[in-house]
Amino acid sequence: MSDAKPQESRDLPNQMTGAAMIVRALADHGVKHIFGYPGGAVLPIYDEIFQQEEVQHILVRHEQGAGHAAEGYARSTGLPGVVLVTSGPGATNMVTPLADALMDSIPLVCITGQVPTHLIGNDAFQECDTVGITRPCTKHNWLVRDVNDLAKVLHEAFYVATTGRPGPVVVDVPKDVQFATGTYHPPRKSDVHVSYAPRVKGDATAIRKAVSMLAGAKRPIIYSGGGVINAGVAASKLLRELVEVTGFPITSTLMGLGAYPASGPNWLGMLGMHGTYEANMAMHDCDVMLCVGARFDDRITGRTDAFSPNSKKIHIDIDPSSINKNIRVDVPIIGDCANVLGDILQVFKAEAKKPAIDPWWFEINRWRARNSLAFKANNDVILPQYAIQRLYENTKHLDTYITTEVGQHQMWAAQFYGFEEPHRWMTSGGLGTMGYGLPAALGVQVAHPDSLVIDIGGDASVQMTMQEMSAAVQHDLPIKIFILNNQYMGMVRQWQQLLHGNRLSHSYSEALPDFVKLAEAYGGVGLQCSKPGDLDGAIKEMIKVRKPVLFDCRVANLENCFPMIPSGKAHNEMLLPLEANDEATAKAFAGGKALV
Amino acid sequence: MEQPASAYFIEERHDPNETHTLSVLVANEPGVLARVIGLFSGRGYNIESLTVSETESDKHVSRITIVTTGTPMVITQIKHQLDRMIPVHRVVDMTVAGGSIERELAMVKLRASN
Repeated sequence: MSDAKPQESRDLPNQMTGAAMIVRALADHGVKHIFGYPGGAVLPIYDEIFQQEEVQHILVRHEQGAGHAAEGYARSTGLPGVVLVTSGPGATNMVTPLADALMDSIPLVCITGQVPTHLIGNDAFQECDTVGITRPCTKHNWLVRDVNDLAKVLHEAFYVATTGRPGPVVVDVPKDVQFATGTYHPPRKSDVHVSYAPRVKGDATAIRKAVSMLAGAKRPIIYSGGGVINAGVAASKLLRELVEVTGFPITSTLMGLGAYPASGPNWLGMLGMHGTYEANMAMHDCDVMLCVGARFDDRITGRTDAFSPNSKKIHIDIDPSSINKNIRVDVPIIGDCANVLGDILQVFKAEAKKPAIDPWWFEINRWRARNSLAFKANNDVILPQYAIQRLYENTKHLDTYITTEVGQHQMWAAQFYGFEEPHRWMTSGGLGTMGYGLPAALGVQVAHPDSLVIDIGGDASVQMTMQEMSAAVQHDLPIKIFILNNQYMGMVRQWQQLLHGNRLSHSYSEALPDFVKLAEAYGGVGLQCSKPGDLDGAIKEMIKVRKPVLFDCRVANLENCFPMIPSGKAHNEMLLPLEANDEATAKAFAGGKALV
Repeated sequence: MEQPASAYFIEERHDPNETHTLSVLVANEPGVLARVIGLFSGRGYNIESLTVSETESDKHVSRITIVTTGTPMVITQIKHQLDRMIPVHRVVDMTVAGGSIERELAMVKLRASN
């Protein structure tokens, strides 16, 4: 009888190879799509993928593309994005998306192959210290040395990535562990470190204190961020209700756009370095600030010693390390945005009434009247602001998702495209990764095959991950790459003009590809437009095409992005577009050696 | 303050530094010390001294004791940053909590002549 035992156990349904466990765990966590690129150290896993249909694999052209695609997928669905890459260069190519996801709190589960355990530390072919390299750019990571630990680690990985403040995790699996047979178990509570227990519910005393401050406010503002998006659609609904119930003005960070609708009456537009005048002035002059799921980052605050000097600040965040990191707050509330907003609303409705803040709105409307996003119309060349406006007007009635690259076009997209719903806007905020938008659009399109997915790009950014056009064609993903082509790295040039004596060091692209031919070479469709009068027709054509499109939108080359808080200045010292003549600009940047 | 030409706001901070002793209870697993040290070097925190050893073998728990300096805001950050690491059970600021004993051990080698 004892002889028969090993034979029996091999037939048990939970006995399987490490590679099979990985695919099984993905299925158990409801993963429908993964993004990846095969290689020597993950071949056993790819062999398992080949023999099943539950999990669909999207082959990219570069591992960085897989990472950003998974980010786009995650951000547009609220589900974790999953990536599978090989050891060595496969893992190092994933470092940028991991760092990007960590900065923007995007749940990613990245499985990397590793050389067999006996070769670790041997400088084997395609070996690198993956857990060492990815330690500072993940929320947590694991090297699995025993196949019997694999199931537990995979389940914990999904839990850590998606709970608390979401983030990227890496599970590094040596090839011999993929081949070895062990016991699999489905997800269970005990898979998680006892030391990991994020707090979800806010402290009741702090919430009461916050409500009494809100109820007594004369010049309040709500400043929301990406945390509201991460907390799910329910959080956005509660935020809208809070705005409705209190009548407070609301602004948002780049990451938080869409939580409150851009068409909403209380919307002030985005705040920060390229935010609107009214949003920044209201932040500076408010008496009570409610920060929901944002982190007072340096693009938001301007100089911190002059940041909103006379306000009492309430800060809701799930991560205690975000509290008092840059700005001291009066009432910190640790918890999930949806949970805390729900509690605040409940107490507010029961115990407070809508504060009378008409004089404050009067003041805000005066700032609004400065029209800080104004630009001079031009009939001869397409202004980038105009291009985004037309893109918005032609797509707002459709089921549209927008991704961006990084630079001027990103700021213009944030300023001129109106987002009505959360999860519709995917951009690299914290890390500022050029090349994010094209693969992110790919990931969004995988999750929403019938929606219109547009990457608003720049001519420089878009070339960093252009190879994924090939993946888009292969998988029949009709992404639209709307390139604001000004032949410059526009934001680099803007800073050189403002701060480095107009010495345009290496910010001009001497030899751009012909984007139309490039699209055709990939098997997609290329469109070009250079006249304001032709723009609407060209955009309509782009929308109609059921193929990946590169849209080469030739825009005014030297247009700069305003309004702007110059470096070292406070929120109430903005430079507005129509006032940004040479003299005003020189004065605003006077501290620099720039325009001397 | 005169600002140099920079995309970042450059501010000098003049808060006085404080010295704190932190006791960090961690899961005793591979790489946990590297995570803690990496946090300090990566975020530019100081380590004046550091000791690590397993304290409860059956529970797989180690204690890392760190003496660090920083402004009050930085010390708070260090504690929060440590606390949010997955294998960290608890962070105790001995300087604030009190009730701890500080001892230094010196070994002195004497050259004795006749």
